[in-house]
Amino acid sequence: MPCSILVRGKNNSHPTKDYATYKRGDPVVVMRFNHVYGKLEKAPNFYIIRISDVSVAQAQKYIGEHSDGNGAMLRRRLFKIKVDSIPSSIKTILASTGEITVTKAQIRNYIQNKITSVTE
Amino acid sequence: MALESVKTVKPSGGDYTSLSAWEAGEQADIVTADIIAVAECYSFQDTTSVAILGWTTDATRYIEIRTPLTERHAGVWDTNKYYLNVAVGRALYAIEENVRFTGLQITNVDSTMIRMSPAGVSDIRISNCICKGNATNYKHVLYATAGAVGSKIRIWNNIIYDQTGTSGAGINLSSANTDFEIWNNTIKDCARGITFVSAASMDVKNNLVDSVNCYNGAVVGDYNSSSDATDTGGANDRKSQTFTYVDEAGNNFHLAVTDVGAKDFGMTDPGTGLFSDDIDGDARSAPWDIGADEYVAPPAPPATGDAIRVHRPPIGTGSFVAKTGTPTGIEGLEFWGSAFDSDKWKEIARTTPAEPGDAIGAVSDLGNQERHVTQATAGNKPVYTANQFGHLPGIVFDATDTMGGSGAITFAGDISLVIYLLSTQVGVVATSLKISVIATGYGIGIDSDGTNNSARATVDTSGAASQVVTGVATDIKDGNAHLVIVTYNRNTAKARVYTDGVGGTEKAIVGAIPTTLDLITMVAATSVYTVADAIIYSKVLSQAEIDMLQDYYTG
Repeated sequence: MPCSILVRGKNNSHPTKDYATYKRGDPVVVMRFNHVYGKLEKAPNFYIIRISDVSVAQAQKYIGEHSDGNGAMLRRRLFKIKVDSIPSSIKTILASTGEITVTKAQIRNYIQNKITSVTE
Repeated sequence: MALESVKTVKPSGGDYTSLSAWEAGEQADIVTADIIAVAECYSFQDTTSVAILGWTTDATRYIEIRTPLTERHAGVWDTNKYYLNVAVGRALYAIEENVRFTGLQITNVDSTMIRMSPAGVSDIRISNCICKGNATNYKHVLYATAGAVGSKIRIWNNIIYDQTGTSGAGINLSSANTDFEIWNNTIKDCARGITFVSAASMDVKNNLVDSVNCYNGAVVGDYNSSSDATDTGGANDRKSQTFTYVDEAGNNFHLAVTDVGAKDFGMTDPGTGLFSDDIDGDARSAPWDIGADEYVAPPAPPATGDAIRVHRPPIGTGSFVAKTGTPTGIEGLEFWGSAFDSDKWKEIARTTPAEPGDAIGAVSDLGNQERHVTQATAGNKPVYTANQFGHLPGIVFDATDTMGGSGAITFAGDISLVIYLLSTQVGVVATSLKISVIATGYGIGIDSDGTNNSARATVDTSGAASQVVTGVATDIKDGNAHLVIVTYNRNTAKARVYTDGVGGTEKAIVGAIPTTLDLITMVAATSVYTVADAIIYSKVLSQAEIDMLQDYYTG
């Protein structure tokens, strides 16, 4: 079953625990492709990216924390969606509707491991 | 005093559709905002692990994750209520100092249910939760570490069971700076019940531990009961006890009337007023029972002549049966109007309740979406009528009656319509339940075949003429109640009609139904029919879900 990813649209911040806050582009949850999101799960607070050829199970890794290996959180998410770098034509749709439907090929270069900077 | 900022977490129609998204969206400095941040969780399965961190809280501006009482389990694991079921990793991670968990159901496959690891002075409370464990070694259900001097963790009225891996504890106390207050919990079938590693102090009372190694380490308390020879050193401890539950095999750990291990052996009010009821809201009575449940004698059966109220019995049979689920247990509920359970009103303003015999102007939406269906014109109002489904009422539509409106709804994906109805009139029911774009007529509806009276669906798209989807050849106008469901899969562009749980042939649909439809129209046209319930989901119901609904209405 293809998936949808709810992505944080804003930067949260904290004076001493900023590492644990959600940043713009952080994937928050993975749901079914057709999932109907809640009233507050929409732009500008969140974006919805529906990916037609990535399963819910395959996308789970995008919502993993960056941890120290002993359970301590170093960053809220290891991966990010580079929402500010996607092509302008798609970004326009995202800005106006709050969601886009893409294939993995279309989005893979904009899903990035924050540590290695390697994209999918 | 700080006010609560309540946001709902629901499968549909709420503010958020997962607790994780709530945490991401609401993460803030709630001390400056002077609020208590509340996530109110409604019935569904939530699957994403949640870490609570990156907030600013204090003792009076805290985070609370809870179920409302109407949506809460009844002291037994219930998949028709909210439950957090995480496939990999810990379910909840409370790293913030001031957090409360109330009335939740939590499970996962391989890790801790609630890990508490705050850095500063903390006030963490866990109450009225059910935690179902796993078999992973060295993992604990409730696991407290860290915390600064002066921290307090209070855990009461919880049922914890089946943490069976090596050294797996129901509650593990591992915070040298924390004062632990552990009251009235039931811990069943865990490798260890309560494990002590470190604490600043302990107040452990009224806990029922029925496990392999009940009290592990120097757990200090009183009025605790155990199934083995371990105790907490109190003068009123009861060790090597046998406990009797209502249904141990079914994981119903309410105390049975015959219990002699825990009933009436507890300390009254160990929390000094913090709580006075049990896990499912029953009032405690002195002397309190040990464990999460307070035994309450069932009410006396009605005597001859007593007034009784009967709620939704199975139709057409004489016995009560346990239902396997309810319509709210299926995600994607967009609308639910019910002659049995919704509020019926005499006028569109919904101010005067309707009684059987009244023409009705509105039916409230049980789906909590505020999508009430209405009819303002007197001559077009259906009639709320007694004794339609056995002794239960229905809403009778004649040829001029309609209900609808309530505004647009977006169906980005799939649709299922459900109607439970009966009719005795031969002839075409032009449309009995329909959602469509009123201006264009494009949409989907349930109706019946004029020749053999079988259920069918009519689909109108912008790409083709009306397309009929036939169901199985069951006469739905035979005077008996029937459950008719139509599903529309937007991806595959196919629709199917189910009659009394039996699916007809799936039909390919030319063109697409619009994604924004006007909810909801129920009309009678040339027939008279009676509706009990009409439900709309934004998903394709599975056969298992259809079977559950069939059981709900007719089982």
